[in-house]
Amino acid sequence: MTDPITVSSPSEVLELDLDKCNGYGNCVFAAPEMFELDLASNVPILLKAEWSDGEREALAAAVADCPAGALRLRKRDALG
Amino acid sequence: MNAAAGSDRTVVIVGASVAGVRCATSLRNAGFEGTVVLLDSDAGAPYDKPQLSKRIDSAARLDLIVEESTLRELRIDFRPAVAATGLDLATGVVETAGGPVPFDELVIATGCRPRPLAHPLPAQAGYLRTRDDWRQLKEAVTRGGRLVVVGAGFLGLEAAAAAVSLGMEVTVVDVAPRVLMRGIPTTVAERVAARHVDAGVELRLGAQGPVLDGDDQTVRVDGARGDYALVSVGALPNVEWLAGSGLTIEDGVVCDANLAAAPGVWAVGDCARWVNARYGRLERHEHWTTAGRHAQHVARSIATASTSPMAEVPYVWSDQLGWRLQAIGRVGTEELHFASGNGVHLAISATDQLVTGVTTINAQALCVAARRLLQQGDPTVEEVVEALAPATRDFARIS
Repeated sequence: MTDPITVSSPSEVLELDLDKCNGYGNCVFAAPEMFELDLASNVPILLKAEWSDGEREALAAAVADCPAGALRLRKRDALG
Repeated sequence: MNAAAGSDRTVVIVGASVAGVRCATSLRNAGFEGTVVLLDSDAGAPYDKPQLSKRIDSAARLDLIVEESTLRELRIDFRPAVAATGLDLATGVVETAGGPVPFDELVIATGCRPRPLAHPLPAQAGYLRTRDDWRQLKEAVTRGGRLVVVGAGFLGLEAAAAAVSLGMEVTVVDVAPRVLMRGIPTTVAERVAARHVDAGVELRLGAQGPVLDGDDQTVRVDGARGDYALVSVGALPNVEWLAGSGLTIEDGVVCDANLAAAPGVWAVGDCARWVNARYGRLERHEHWTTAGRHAQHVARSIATASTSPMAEVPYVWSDQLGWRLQAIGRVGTEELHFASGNGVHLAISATDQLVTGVTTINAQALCVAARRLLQQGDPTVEEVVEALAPATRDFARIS
């Protein structure tokens, strides 16, 4: 088990679970500003460390478009 | 969002598979504040379909598309075990066994069901589309013996791969001369078939039309004998409930490029036959990714009270025996097949020197690059070869 890679907005955290990711690539098309797939490893690269309100809908689409359930968007808690 | 976010409007979504659920949640993500009702004929929480043919070991559980608590948080009125039986466009009502459900906007997401064989199935046989179908298959896998799969498409081969990996004997029967006749080029399909044979799967291709018989214990198909038969010979759209509604029904709900079937009536997912703006022709996809993207598109149209054409290049994936098979676009009349030394394959399909599709085995990033190219239009073979060159330096053309 690897810890998920996380990036945050002020109110939410995006988690990428590489154990679940199968490289289907849907995130790259749902939120191209946020994701790319690395050619050598077939693993997603997060292109940004944060996102704006205007990018949130595309990000939610990327989470929902992931067939492997490797992406999760959760509310930021006290520890987040 | 302004008043168009529709706080006084009601959207009724019929069908809670990936398209219906995605539409409901996307409405909220797009700022829609009105009432969202989500009807489904199945009882129980919405589950994701692709796993039905992959997770069939005795301990397997189905992942939900969404938790019911999330639906509640999003104020989505989810009503399982409510089958839609009719549509009255004039009054804006969906008829159900539980009474009429009025709507301002309707989203039809009733999906597909398995294409049935011409005869009833014997006791030890089933289709695979619902949670109950999946449980029956899983029980058969737990009992062991030989699984006969009728139909060598994606669903059938995935189930065959999963069953053989779990120690079952497996026979795959199809009338077609090769596996994966729909959507996968011959050279790639041959490799997938060889992979199955190496894993111990018996392939009986070019079979007679499948006729199943059997008793309480066994099933027979075209000379093959098994302990259970899975029938996976395609799918039909669930649109009979719309007969007489005034909507155009022809192999699905016929829609314009915006996915509108009538004013305020939309169709999404496997049951939608829309003018795909990418190709300018009526198409119906049976793909998980298309279903989600349709849903997202229509949710945005409703939430913003605007429309836009939906363009989609078909994308399918399949996981079999440790291989990740991915296909973008469609097969053409020619194929260029490249492979690297470490089991990575790339097939470029073309018609008249224009690329119609790209298929890969174990090359996810390459598939993303190809998908990007194909979304723009029909590139030439040279353009695709050149664009993919940085990732294919160690590839050799093999056919």
